[in-house]
Amino acid sequence: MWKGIIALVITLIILAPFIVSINEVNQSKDYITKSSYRFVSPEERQKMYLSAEKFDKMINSYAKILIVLAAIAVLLLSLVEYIKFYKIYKEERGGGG
Amino acid sequence: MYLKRFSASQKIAHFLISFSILMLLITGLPITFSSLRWVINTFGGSDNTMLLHRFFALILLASVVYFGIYFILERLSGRGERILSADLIKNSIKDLLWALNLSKERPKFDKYDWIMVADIIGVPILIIIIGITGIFMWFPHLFVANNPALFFAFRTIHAFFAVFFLFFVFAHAGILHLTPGNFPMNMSIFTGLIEAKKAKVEHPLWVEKAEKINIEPKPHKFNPLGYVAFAISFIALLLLVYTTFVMADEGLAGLRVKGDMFVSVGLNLSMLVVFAYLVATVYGGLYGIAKGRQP
Repeated sequence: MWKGIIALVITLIILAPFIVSINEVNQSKDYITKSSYRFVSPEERQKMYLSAEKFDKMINSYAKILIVLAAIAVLLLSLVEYIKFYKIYKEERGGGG
Repeated sequence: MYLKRFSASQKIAHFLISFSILMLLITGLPITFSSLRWVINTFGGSDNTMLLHRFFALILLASVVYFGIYFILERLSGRGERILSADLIKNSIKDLLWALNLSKERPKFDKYDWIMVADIIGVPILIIIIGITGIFMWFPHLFVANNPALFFAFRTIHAFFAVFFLFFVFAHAGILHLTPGNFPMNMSIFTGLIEAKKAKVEHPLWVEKAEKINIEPKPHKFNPLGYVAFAISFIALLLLVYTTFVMADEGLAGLRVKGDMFVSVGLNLSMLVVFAYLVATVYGGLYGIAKGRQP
């Protein structure tokens, strides 16, 4: 019982900000972001955006390999596991198919 | 005879997490893949779909945080379960070799075999990554205000893991529910019980430790429709694998795929399969409640 109460209290504390803002799309009510031209020079912004693009491209380069490998692995694993469960099923039924 | 396999907390955790993951896939994938636009229209537009997405994200986060803390406390108080074992990797290789007839004997597993351990450990890790990137996009003024272009990097990570989750769902449900001996549904996780006969073959090291329940199970007969169900799931999976090649070919920027017929059929078929799993999850949950009330 005490474990459930502790877990519930911590969960509610962690999730409170999300519950409050579930239907909000602009929580800051600030339509001019900190990166706006009013605060950041075009040169600085260009540097910032290029660094973000570099980061995005790096993620893409890994993600595109990983997703293909993961997809093939899941496909093969599903096949092998299907064969395994077929064998287990035969064992459970005492050799019958 | 049955054996008690899962506690009430485990059953509730599985139900909430699987239901919310399926709903997140249904409401989230159409944002990335335009050929699934009909799903957004079904929910009454983008605003409703995104509200639902955030709602189920909260259910998922709440379930993971609550049950994560609960199971840790249970373990600390000496009542938890030991999941990892020293020979897990060795046994996983032996198990795969046995499936392929390259080894004579299947390794003996305790309560959880290696694939279940991978599920138990892998799912929270995936949820944490996908949750953090989701929170970054939910509160951009807090996390990417200084460099809004970073939003797209987080979106790529979020979408990448969402597609990976789709593969996970297909593998998990295909293996544990659509295989011989389990089709149409493996009810263990919903009722908390497993047939002793089945457990003796699948989890021989655990059987002696398990709590016995003297109810005679109905004889299980494999329905040949199971072959059809697995074939449909496998075709969808095959088309999804093809989709990842197209995505990779396009540089994965935003994960938008071009108007490829196979991609479109694969995504739509997958979406229908996910809907079917959602209905099955609700059915399993209700069945578990009904069985739990029986004396």
